Amino acid sequence: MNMGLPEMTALERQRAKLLEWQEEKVAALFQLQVHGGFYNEGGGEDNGVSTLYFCHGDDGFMGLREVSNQCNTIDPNARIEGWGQFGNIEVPCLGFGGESISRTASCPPAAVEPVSCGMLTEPSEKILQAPVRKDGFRKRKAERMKSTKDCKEEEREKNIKMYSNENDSKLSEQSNCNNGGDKKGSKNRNSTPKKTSESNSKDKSIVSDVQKTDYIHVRARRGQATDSHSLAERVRREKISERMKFLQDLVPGCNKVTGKAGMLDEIINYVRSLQRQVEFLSMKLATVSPRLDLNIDDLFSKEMIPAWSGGFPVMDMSAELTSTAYFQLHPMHQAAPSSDLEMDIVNPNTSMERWSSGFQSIYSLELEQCNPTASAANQSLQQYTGLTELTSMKMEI
Amino acid sequence: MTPPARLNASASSPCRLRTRFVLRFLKTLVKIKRSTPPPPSPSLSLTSSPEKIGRHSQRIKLAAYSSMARAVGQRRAWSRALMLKLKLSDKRKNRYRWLAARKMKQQKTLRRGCGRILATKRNRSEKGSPSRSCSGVDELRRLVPGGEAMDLGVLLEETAHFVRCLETQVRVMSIIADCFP
Repeated sequence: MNMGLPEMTALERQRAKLLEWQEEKVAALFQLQVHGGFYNEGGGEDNGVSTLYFCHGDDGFMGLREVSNQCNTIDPNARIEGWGQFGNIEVPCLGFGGESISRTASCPPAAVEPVSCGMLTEPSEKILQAPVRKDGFRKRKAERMKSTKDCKEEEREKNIKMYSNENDSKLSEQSNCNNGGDKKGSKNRNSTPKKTSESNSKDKSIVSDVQKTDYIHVRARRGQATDSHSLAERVRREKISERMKFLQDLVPGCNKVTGKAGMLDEIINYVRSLQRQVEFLSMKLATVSPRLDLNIDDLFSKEMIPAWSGGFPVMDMSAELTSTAYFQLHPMHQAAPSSDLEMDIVNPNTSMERWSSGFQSIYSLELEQCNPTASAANQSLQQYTGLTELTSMKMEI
Repeated sequence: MTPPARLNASASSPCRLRTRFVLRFLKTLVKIKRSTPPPPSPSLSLTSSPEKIGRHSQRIKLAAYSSMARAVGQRRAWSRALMLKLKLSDKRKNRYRWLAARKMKQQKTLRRGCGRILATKRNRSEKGSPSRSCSGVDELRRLVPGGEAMDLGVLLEETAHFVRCLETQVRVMSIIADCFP
């Protein structure tokens, strides 16, 4: 197009190009309205590429903004392939265009300005009118985005979007940001789809509001996130916080404390208390176990395992035994004011009841066979040990 | 997310973990019972030497931890570390015992040896983490078996599972202890 006019003056060339651009714009918009994927068409692609080359090689800078608007109106999220081609050329163009537009802004032909301004408003309206569609595309794109090219493209799309949404006063800023973003684009390879989807969601909310200040904040964050180190750190931090939350649910009494250090202390105290309980119970068993019957193994293998696997059905028992077992369990737990043990054991109380009642029913026979006098002594011992356990728990708390 | 899912899976089938632990623990208890000579009369159990009771309780404690670790199996880093630690300490104890029996055939020396082994193990574990500013994470690493070599994220996950297993252990042991009046 431009090759055939070497003999014309620069101004005439510019005017001719502008006219061509306007025509192309109209055609492009028409195509946009008709089709969704402008750049899948061969003609469209060629047009787009050729126009960019056009703008890059020449002084027809006023058309550059319009091209970018075209890109926006054409909904860059629709197709990636065509955009990729496009994208490789864009950034230098935009940077170039940014500077150039400031230059041209200083001495613009009056005729061109109103037209371009008109075009500016139109695409921005179009963007606003179809945020849902864009968001839908963006979502899909975020899901598909696994390659470096896509990440770069999206970043550049966002650059262009910003470029279109904001006015000329912000152009120089954008050009700097674009250049900076381009530098970081190489590091963007390591960005996870999660991150881009996060920033996508932020952009989504911001597109609907069209607030310039929020956009810039998102930008800054993305600038941080594109660094592979900070990204990995962020992922690690999120993982850790997630696990701390899970531990918070697990450890009783952690809800009141906030902050990592306090929660860690709580967890450490809880683990220590559990270990001490195990030690205490082992000592208890050491004193009690001389009376352990050696037929335990057979009994358990025969009777208890099917009971356990069946979900602890209540065994046949005498009322006294169950009541004694219940009383032995409950005073221990209820007396402790805010013990960790209480929280754990009161909840599955029913299962424990069944367990203890089951045990009782099996071992009642053996116990009767043993010395009945010793049983009383052992009961007193048990009460004593129960009391000591209570005191120890109180001391812990 | 995976850690809650994994832990919830183990919680949704608590009977399996619990039954495994209970079976092993009871078997070990029976073994211990058989290995220790029975007191002449039950009343003497109250007045048996605190040393004996202490040693007995130590053995039961080790039995509890080892049975819990074996019930969990190789799935968790802490259980693997715990099993390794117990195996090593057992070997060391046996070797020391054998050497001591060879050199000095006195029961007193054997007991002192056992106590020394336990003490040195404790000291070694304490000296392993020197006197830094005791942050909560270091303490947690000390508490959870195998925690020194873990990343913080992994450490927290292991802590959660360890806490659950400890709770199960405490419940089972308390039931067993309450069973025998």
